[in-house]
Amino acid sequence: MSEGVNEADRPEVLAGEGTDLFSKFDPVITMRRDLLDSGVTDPFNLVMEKVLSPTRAICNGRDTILLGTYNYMGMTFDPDVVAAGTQALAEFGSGTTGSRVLNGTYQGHRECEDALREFYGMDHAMVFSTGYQANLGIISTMAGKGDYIVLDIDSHASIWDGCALGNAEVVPFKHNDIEAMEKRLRRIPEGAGKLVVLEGVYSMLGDIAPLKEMIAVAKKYGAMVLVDEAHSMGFIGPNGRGVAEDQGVLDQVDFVIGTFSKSVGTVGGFCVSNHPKFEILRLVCRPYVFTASLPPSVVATAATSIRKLMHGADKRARLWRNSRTLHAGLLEQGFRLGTSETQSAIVAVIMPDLERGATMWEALLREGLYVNLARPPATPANMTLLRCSLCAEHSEDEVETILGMFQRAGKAVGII
Amino acid sequence: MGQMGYRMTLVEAKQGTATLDMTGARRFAPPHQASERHAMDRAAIDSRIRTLIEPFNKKAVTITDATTFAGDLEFDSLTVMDFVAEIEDEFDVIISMNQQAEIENYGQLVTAVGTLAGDDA
Repeated sequence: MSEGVNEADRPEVLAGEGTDLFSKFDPVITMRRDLLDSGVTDPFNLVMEKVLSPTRAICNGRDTILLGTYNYMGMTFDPDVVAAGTQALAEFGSGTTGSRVLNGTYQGHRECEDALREFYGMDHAMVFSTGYQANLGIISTMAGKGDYIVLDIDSHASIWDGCALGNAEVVPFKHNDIEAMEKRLRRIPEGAGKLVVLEGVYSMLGDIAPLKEMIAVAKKYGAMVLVDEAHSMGFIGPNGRGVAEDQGVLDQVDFVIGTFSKSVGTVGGFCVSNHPKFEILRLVCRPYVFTASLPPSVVATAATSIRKLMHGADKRARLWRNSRTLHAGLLEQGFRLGTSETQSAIVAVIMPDLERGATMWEALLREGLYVNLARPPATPANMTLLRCSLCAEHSEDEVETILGMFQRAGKAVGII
Repeated sequence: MGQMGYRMTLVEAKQGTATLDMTGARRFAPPHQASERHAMDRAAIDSRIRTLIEPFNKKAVTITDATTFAGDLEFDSLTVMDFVAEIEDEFDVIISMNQQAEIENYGQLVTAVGTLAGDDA
C-alpha cells in the first residue's frame, strides 16, 4: 500500500504487479482502495455484532434497522422454526458429513422435500446445499455441449456460472425483451436442445418478468423452461409460489429454482419439477452429488418455515403494505427508483455514481439503517444501487422512520 | 440429447474452416470453398458490419482487421451485447457467448459472420 499521493503520470506500482496470478485483480484492488481512501466505511465488510430480530441488529455498537437482508417473511426468529432446529440439532447432531447420495440423506431432508412438493403442488423436489448450487447444478446438468441456453442478460451470477460449467452454447437477450428472446430461439439450429432461463423477480432492480408471454414463446419453439423464483417465494402468487403462479403459467415451467436463504429464513436451495424423469438428476448432477448435505437443524428449520409460509396471508399483506409505503415515500422524496411502481419487496434506489452511493450508504448506516450497496459489475447498466428489501416484520412506524432517515441522508449527500 | 451427432460434427469441423458451432453439419465449410465468390462475400459482409459499427465507434477509431473490440474500441460488456444483437439481426445468425469469447478483433468477427451466415448468403 502506498502512503504517498498517487500522481497521474507516475502510477503507483502495486506490490507484486505483473509477477503472479493476482495481477488480474489490480483494477479491483485500485477501485476498492480509492473508495476507502475517500474515508468512507467499507460497505463490504460490515459485521453484525448482535442480531435482535429479523429487522434489527447491533452494527458498530449501534441499534440498526435492517433493510437489506431478503428476510422477506421474517421467519428467522419464528418460535416454531427455531424450536424445530433446536430439536433436530439435539437429536441428529450438528452435521451429516456426507453427500445426499451416500450418508447425507436424513429423515429431515426427506421431510423438507415433502414440504416443498406440497408447497408448490409438484411431483418432485430436490434440496441442494445452497441456492447457488441449485442453479449451478440444474443448468449445467440439463444443458450440455451442443445444447443452447437462452437467458436474460440480467441473470444472477449463479445462472451464468451454471451456463459456464455445462459447456452449452450461451445466448443472452436484452432484459425482459420478449421479441429479442424469440429471435434467438428462432435462429437455433433444428434438433438442438434448448433451455430458456428466466427469473420471476430480478433482484437488482426488483422488477418482475413477463413470464406468461415469455414462456408461451419458449414453448412455441420447443424449449424447456427454468424459472428462478428466489425473490418471490412466500408472497407473490395466490399460494406464494412465485411470479409464474401469479401469471397463471406455473404448470408450464419445467424447473422452478428456489432458495431457503430469503423468505424461508435459513440456507439451502432447491429445484421442483413435474418431469417424470426428474429423480435421475440425483445421480448425475455434480453440484448435488459432490458436496455435503445441509445440517439436520437447517433442513428442520426449512421444512417448518415452508409449511408455515403456506398459511402466511397476514405476513404477505404486511410485506406488500410495507413495500408500497416505502416505494411511494421514496419516490415522493425525489429519489430515482428501479421500478416506477411496486413490483416486489425490493426497492432499488439508483445512485448517481459509486462514490456518492458509498457516501449515502454510510450516511444511512450512521442514521441506524442497513441497506445493500450494489455496484458494477453485479448491477445492470453499470448502476450503483442502494437496494432495500422489506420484511413483513417491519412495523409501520419503522417504515416511517426509514423514510425519515433516507430524507436526511439524501439531503446531506446532495442526492435529493 | 444427440451427443454422438455433435461429436462427429466437431471432428469434421476440425478438418475444415474453424467453426465453434458444433450443432450441425450444415455449418461446416471445407477449406477449398475459399474461392473468389467467398472473397466477394467477405467484402460485402465487411461493408455491412462497418455500417453497423459506426454508432458504437464513439472515438472514430480507424477500423482495420486488427482493431480489437475491448482494447482499441473500448467496448464494455453492455456495448458488446448491443453490438452483437445488431449483427445477429442484420445477418439472422446467433453468435453465442462461447463464440464471442474467440472473437477479439474486427477481422475475426467478419470471418465468423461469414462462416455463420455462409449457407444462407
